[in-house]
Amino acid sequence: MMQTPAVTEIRYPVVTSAALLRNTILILISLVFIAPFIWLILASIDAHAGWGIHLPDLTLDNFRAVLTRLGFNALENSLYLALATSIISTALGYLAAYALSRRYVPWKHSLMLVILFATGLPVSLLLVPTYQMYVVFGWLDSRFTTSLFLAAGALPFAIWMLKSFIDAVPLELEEAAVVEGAGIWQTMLRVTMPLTLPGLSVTAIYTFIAAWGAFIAPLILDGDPDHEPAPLAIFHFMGNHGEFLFGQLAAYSLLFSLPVVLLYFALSRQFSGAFTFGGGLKG
Amino acid sequence: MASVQFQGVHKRFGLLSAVDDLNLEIGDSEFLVVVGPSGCGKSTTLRMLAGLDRPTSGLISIGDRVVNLVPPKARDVAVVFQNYALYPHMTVRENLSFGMRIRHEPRARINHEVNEMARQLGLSALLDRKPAALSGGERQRVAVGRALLRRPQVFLMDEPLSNLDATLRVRMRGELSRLHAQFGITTFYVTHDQIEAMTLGSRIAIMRGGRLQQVARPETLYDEPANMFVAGFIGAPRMNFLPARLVGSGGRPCLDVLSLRLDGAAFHFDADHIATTSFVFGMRPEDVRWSRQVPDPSWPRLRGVIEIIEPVGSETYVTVRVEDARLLARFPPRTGLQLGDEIELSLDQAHIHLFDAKTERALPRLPQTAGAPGNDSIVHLQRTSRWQD
Repeated sequence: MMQTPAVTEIRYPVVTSAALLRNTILILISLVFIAPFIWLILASIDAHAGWGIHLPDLTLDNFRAVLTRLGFNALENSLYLALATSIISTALGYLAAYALSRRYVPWKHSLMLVILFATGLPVSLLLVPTYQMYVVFGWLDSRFTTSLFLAAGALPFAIWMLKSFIDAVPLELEEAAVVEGAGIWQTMLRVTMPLTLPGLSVTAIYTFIAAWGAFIAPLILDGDPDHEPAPLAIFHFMGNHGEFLFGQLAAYSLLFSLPVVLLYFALSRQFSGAFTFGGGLKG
Repeated sequence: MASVQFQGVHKRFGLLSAVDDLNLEIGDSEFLVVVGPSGCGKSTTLRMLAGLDRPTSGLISIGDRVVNLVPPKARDVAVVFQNYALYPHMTVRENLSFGMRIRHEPRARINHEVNEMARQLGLSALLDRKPAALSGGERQRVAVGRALLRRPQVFLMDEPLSNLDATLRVRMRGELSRLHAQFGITTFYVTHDQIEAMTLGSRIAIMRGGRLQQVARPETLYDEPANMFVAGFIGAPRMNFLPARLVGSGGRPCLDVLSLRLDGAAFHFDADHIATTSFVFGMRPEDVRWSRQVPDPSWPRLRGVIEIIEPVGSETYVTVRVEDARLLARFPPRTGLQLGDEIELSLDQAHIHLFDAKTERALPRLPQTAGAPGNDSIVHLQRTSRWQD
């Protein structure tokens, strides 16, 4: 007679050779990608930083030296560009996305495809004509006009991203508000916008990060050395001192990437705490 | 409160006609239920009345005012949506007060009215919760409360009970009746559920394929359906339909249904009817009786075999195979009948419905006064050779 084993008696294999092989390969591949970051961190706190990765001779002198040499000016410029770009492209993108999502727009589908195509255009392609235009307008050497260019570049992405979030808000909620007496702006600001906050923050953070790392646009459009953003500062710092100051370079790069890393954490929290429409509509 | 009027209203979406020549009047303080299968145009009609859709042509008036060009917020209507459409990011209190806040009413008044409405609807303890933390019935009450706070001229409800479970639906149905009695607001209520329609409506409008089929009080709709669609849609279980032929027998119009010859003198046949002779006989399941329980031996009888027995507690539905047709009968509970039993059925002649097979329209009954079996029609009928057999 067959006897059923007790539940505790059934053991599942914890490690199989196939899983072992698979994971080893994956770890090796990921090492290739992680190595530069490990170097960055180690070099920034190493008094004798060089090409290789080795145990650091612990020090904070790199940070101190690079900050006395470069100061915070470039980081401030980057912050200005990133904030302005983020605010402009998210605000304009929201209005455009709202209209494209909710209103009758002729040729809407084709328009969306054109916008999608625009997200794929390399910025450098547009820089020559834009430079010409800026010369004519007298817009060169200004942080604001540079951020306008960056915002224009981020706009197609912002529109697509925000439209998908607005599309997800049930139309009935807006209709309910309209019947209750709300106008277009009230409906958008008090009903739709609070429900698309995750989309707004994702878009704002994403466009911020993109502008934070902007290199070529400020290089071409803004020649004023006082307006130099951090990526350009790093670039100039590399060649201007006769020798490569690896430790200081790593320290500054680390400072530069810190806001981005923090924002990525904020972003992932937005997604994990995913906002839902639970309860507003049928249960 | 106000009356509502639709005059020759059409709504087309591209080539599709959603509402076709709708003429309908809703009286002051009336509870009108619009019922029909999905896609019949009932929700479109509601949306046009709310101002969310524009009619392609025709006039819609609320009270004395034509509202075709009036935006939703100025129409003085409130809508309860099928999915309630509560704002998920607001608490119950904020949901209830949204309209008043939009209209910048004084805070003290908002608080007072919201608290009062919450008390009446039993929502006082839930005011600080968000919709996600409410049960289906609670959400439904919030949606109704939000609409009531608007103090509308007309109350529009789009299948407000369809997302509730059966028990709750029955309770909320009673609740809506009570609220209507209390506030007396003209109500336009859309549903696909005929029980809801029958229990709630002071009058019912039945729609199908964008066309209004019949508007009448619930009992009239049940007893005198205007056509086969209405007859089949109202009443559960559904009315039995059987093919019937018009024949003449001894100078009287008669109907051949299965092997029976029934007296057709109660109906008014016009010339077109006589030419076709083909009709549909309709009988509600409760008028198909078990002969053993019918005292009157003069009722026409049919023999058949039981195919399905469905006890529902208070009664039993029995499907009987009679010749090559099936008849559904509604018996009292605990019949003791078995599948396969042979049974004799008696038909209640007073409740025969007759429809034109081609137009599906009901034939009008002649007035019940004695000796008036529509002499004109008999004269017509006698002209045809089919009359003599």
